Amino acid sequence: MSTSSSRLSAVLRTDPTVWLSDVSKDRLWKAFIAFWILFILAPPIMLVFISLDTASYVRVPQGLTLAKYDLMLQSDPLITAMERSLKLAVVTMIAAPLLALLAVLSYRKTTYKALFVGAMILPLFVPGVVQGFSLLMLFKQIGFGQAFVATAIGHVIWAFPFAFLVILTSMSTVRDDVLLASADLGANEFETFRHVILPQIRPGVISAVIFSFVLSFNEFSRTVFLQFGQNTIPTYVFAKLQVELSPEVFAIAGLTVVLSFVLIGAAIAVLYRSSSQEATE
Amino acid sequence: MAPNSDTENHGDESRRGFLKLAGGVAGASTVGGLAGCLGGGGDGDEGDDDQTDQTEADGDQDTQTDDGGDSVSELSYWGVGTTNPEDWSGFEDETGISVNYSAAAWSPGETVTKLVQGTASENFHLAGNDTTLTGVLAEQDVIHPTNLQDLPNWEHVYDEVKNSGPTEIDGEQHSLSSVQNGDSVAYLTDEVGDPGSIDSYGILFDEEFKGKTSLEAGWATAFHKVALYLQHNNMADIENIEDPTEDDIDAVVDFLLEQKNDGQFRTFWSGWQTAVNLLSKKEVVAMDTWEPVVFALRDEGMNAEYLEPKEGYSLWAIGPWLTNKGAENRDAAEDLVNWMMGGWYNAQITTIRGYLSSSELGIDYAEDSEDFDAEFIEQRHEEVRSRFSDDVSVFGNRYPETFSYMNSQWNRLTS
Amino acid sequence: MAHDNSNPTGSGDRSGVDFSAQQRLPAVIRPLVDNDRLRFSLQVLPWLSILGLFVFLPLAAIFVWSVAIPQPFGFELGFTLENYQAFFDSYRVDTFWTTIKEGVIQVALALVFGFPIAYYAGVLKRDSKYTFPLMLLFAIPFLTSYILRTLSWISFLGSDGVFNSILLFAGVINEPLGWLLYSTFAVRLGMLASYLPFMIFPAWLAMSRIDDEILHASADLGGSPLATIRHVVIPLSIPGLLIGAVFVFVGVLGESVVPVLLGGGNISLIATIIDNAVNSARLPLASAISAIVLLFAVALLLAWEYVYGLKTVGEI
Repeated sequence: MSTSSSRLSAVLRTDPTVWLSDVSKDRLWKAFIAFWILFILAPPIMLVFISLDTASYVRVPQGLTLAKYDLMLQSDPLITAMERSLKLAVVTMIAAPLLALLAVLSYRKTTYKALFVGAMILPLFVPGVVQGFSLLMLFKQIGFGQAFVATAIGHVIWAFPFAFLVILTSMSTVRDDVLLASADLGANEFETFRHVILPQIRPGVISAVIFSFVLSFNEFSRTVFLQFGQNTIPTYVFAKLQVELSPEVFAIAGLTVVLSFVLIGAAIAVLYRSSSQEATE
Repeated sequence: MAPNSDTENHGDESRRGFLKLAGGVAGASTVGGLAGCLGGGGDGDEGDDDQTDQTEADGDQDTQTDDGGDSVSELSYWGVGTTNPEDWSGFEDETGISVNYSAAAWSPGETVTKLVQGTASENFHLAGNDTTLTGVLAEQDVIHPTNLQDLPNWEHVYDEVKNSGPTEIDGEQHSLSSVQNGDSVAYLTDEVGDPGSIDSYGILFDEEFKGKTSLEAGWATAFHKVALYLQHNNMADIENIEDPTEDDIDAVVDFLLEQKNDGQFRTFWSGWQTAVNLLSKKEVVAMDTWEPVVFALRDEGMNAEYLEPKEGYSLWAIGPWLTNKGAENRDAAEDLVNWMMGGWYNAQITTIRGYLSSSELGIDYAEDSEDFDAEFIEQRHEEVRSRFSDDVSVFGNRYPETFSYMNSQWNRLTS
Repeated sequence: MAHDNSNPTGSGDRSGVDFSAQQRLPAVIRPLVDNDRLRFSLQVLPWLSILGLFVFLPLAAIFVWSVAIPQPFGFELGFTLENYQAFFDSYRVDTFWTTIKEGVIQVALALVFGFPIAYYAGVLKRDSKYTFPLMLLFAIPFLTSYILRTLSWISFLGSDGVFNSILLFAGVINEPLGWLLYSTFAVRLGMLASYLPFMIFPAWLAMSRIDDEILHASADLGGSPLATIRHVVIPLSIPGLLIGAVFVFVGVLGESVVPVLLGGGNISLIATIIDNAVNSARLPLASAISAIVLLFAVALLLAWEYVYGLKTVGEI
């Protein structure tokens, strides 16, 4: 590990832009990355402040109160919607990458690769409302009315192409000759998958899981047709914001943001502690 | 109407449905079949009520007959937030039946689409939306008339409210309006002027407030006000505001497009949040919107008024209908409808939003209760009722013959 | 490839080896390896049936619906081009082109800004264990409601918002900039904040799987970082960049929140028009527009195949 990173910095040293020292280049990089992280995080961080603001509408926050959080805790529909959203996201996060993984493995064996990829990408272009509505027609036709399953199907097929493409790109490092070698060395297909393929595509699978979770958690246009009255967070928030004052929806957003910061912060802290321990040893 | 099947039965049925579909019908004909199911009405012959998480709980005791419904332990109501009293426990205390409320958008198209083409009539016992949709929905057989003798509170309902929208179809009462108002424009007195000097929708189109006014992104609130303005001031020939012709729509939209291209509007707002936000931060100073926005602004300490337009108000009413599912549990569903015309609900709706509820029962209730300000309720009821009885205000049909044209033209305006 | 295809379990010439490999499998899954048909049905049937039933069947229905004859509440199956006409003879076709344009702009912005971020995480800091948690920060916005996230931009962009206040305070401007909010600018900003991560993640993934050895070789041969980027990083990460481009573009095609909340009626995208058609019981019109979007996507895919080869997504 350490040799590889020192060799990588050797790559940097040969840069022709000599007027920048390595240190200032590093600072520039950090500033650049920090700017974009701030840009991406600006809306959610603002939501935390809005959730604590005294006004019940969106403005530059000027006060501090937990009133919205109080309302949130009292709002059963909001909590039910959150539970449903999380359940759907977990189902999608497992099902979509799993199906995508199977599809990627099948992809390796097909001869019509371009057609295969094309067929996976095309459904992404179907507008959400139309996909939601046509699924509703299908379910109505076959008399299927299980709201959770219907919505989960809508979410899984939405996340599937994302998961497929992400896993597929990471699968490209897995070479056919390596697989053949593995077989020649006497590994069966499961062993090859576990010991040869999986370690190489793990980042892709993790990304697919994150993508699937996030896509499901944000899904609105399909859900709205398939939920049969059982709201998820996006559809609940949408309906609530339409005709009435609904401060509690800001509280749940603020809470989610704070929780995710805490989790990521904890992960970084753990990593930092373990590395400083290594350093002192 | 298929009787309410129990859980297992339902499972079988959907499984059968899947097999039917998967079972080797040629792809093309399946697509045809899938597409074909749309033509007719929403009276699902196989899609009986959905089995939700909530009803799962009482699935085994779910043995009621068609006109029964006494065994139902929860009623699902899909209605505009306007009709949500925030607290349904009073009904549960009275009847032992809880209410599972889902928020609906005040969007005529979406409502009709979900009830007629979708499965909303099978998913919810009651649907509450604009009463002028009653005719189309009844025609499509997705809502059902109520028995007035089962609704003791009906006789108290104000006459203005009884006639809100054509809710009586072929002599049968379908919708029973629970919330109504006459809408105009909210404005900031510090910027626009005091109520004594302002009496017209013209403030929306005043040069002085260029780039400082706003209309709703949907036509259902804005169209009628603008039409009233143009008609009253002889700026355009409008044949029928309540059921506009295509020419009427063109006249209004062309006028607005000109205004928009002149930069008159800051934005087209959508949703309560944006509405309050725009005025409270003075991004706009006058805006076509709902009256509670004014109350919210006053709560924030701002000087806001609701216009008393010489051109007349745009009237509306929202009330619950019995859906296919509701008709199967008629007794319980009608109890809820009756409750939504009752004292507490009445008082609560006027108190939290300032809207007119359906009868004096609310005022009576408030007088005997410490939780409500009876004077405020009475004053609001009088105010709004006078809007319903003046000569100029219009009660626009939110699903006119020209609905599709209206939507398409309005979309052109806001895009 | 053909070898794999015709001989998936490697029976025949390697049967002896396979037999011992088979022996090591738990008894439960052994039949899966022995039985081609069973294995096929477990590996292919799950996703194929779900996709076939819930994706491709409705996809086919869109084309059938797009030529159906509209009725007041739905339609009758038949053949008419009036739905396509309602698209081409109206403002809708302009909105379609606007959407394509905005999609291209977002892809370009995401490439320009997303590439360096992915490069930093996937090449420069590929060995740092902080990279992954830091990259997770880019996913946080997606845990909050899209509508609320978009609304919160109003606090930044409004007349008395954060940006205007700072600029006023610093004396850069004398009165608030109105065009920050309810403008095309606001829409582009809002969308960039939403879609940039959809470029960053695939690009990062593509770059992080470039072999250390290859990067070193380039440096050892005297290539500057810029040369390495041009000749090694870009070519090897093109699949990830292309996929990121698809994700961003598809996002813009489906975007119906940002233009409504931040656009102030100055810009509209096709998803709003399709929503509107569905919600006014005009499914044939919505289907016709969707069909056009899909045909556009097919053209895009064909171009991709012609120029670069679609299958390279899964290869190096």
